[in-house]
Amino acid sequence: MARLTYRITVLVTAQIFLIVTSFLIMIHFESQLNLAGNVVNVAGENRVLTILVRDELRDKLFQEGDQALDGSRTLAALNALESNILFLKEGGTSSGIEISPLSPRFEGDWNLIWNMFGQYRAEILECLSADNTDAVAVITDIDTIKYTGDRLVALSDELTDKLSHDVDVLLSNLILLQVFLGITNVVAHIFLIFLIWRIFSRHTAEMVRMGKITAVGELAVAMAHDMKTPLGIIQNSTSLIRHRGGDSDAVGSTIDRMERAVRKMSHQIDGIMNSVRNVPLVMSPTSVSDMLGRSVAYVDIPDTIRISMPKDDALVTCDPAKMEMVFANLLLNAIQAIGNDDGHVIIRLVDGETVTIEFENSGPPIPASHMTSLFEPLFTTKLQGTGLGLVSCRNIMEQHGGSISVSNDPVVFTLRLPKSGQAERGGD
Amino acid sequence: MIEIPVKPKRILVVDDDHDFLESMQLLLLDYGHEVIPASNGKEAVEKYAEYGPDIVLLDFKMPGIDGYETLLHIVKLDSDARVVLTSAYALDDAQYRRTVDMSLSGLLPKPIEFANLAKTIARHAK
Repeated sequence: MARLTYRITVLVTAQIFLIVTSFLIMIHFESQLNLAGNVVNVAGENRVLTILVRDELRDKLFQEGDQALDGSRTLAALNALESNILFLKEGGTSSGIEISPLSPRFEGDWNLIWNMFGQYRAEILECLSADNTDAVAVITDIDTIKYTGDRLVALSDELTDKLSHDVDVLLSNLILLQVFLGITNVVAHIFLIFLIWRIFSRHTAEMVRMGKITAVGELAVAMAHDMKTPLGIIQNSTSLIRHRGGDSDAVGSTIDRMERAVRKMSHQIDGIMNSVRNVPLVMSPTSVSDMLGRSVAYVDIPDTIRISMPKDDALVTCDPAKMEMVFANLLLNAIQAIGNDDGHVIIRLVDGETVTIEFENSGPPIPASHMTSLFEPLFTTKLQGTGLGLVSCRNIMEQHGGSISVSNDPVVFTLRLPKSGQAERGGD
Repeated sequence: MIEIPVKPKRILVVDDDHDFLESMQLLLLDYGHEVIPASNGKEAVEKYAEYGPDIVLLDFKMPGIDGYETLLHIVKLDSDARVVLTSAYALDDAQYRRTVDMSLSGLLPKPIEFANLAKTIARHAK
């Protein structure tokens, strides 16, 4: 449960992190776009101010009244134009508008504007200081100033165009980014929701499995103890009869049958117990080859089936009785899978960092639809199966810190065991 | 049939099932062992003190004191006691696990095949 909470917390944190990061990136880009937009406005202001200077000058020269008295308004407009051009280069904050310093890429354009402004200012100052009595000279001056002003406006417009192109690029990048972040977020959220859903559904499946097992288990555990004792009585009694002269063939074979029946019943009970409970392990270093030998002796093998045992041996620390049960189970399954046909079971042993034991059989492949249910409790395709054999095997392997897996075509069940008994204490 | 040669031992068999106790007693007697039956933990501890058996076959689930407590009492009486547990599992997992961990001469779950029983007695009895 703690692990589940941890995984969900990690996923939700990842989701929140993704949302916050996306927002921060968007906010950063928006502010960049704002700054760039302000630069365009400031650059555009140059055109307005240039024309204003010229208009003020014309008013002073040609109009009657107060406006004609001095050139202060022209000078003010000229200063405003100068500050605006400098503001465009230096950046900063003016009248509540914030812009960044002009990019070095536009330095050439700005220098042209600044030089043209120098000329414009010189011509205007000269015009203002001249004795404007000669109408022809005034008109010539005005024409020159108008021409310079037009060139200044043209240069300003050129820079403004370039700057607004930059804003356009930025804007389209922002839109792309929005789309990209949007899609990323949606995909990531769907993926995260999928992960969370998967964790929950697995958890639910596990709960259902545990529920099934618990229900069967409680009944089984209660029955097992009570059944084992009467079986023990039968076993003791058959041993006694055998000892007291059950040597004759008729009695001997009857006792053999009774003992086999006792062993089968006991095995069934063990199967149920091992699938529902972690029965404590009694560990000892044991030869795999010895255990395989005993398991093979335990199972009735038809003449049509050849068992090929591994040549090598390995020593593992395990509960031999439980491990033999796993081997016998896999062997029995293999024999039942082969059925009445001729066939073979090949047992392989690989002694490495872990000990690997493979049971390959020549039977038909396991249908794909059965592959996922193989290790589920109460799943069986056999008429006489409990659906607990492979569950017991898995429980026993996991209790030993090992694993069981299956591959198809040919059907191979693979057991992996740590060499030195890293048994888990399950249950409780 | 192969007769397994056995050295006679004094064996304390503890089980609350009368039939099991009797069948075990008859079987072991047939092989020349001396058998002391006990049908509960209290009786087992008393008889252990009285007879000092070579080995104990101990059931886990019993009325009164269970296998674990019986084991503790026996070990208190004799630190060299040889005890074999005859239960494969129990309803009380934790207690059973403690018993398995402590059970001095291992586990021989019912139904016990005689060959295994003989081997265990030969190996573990005093």
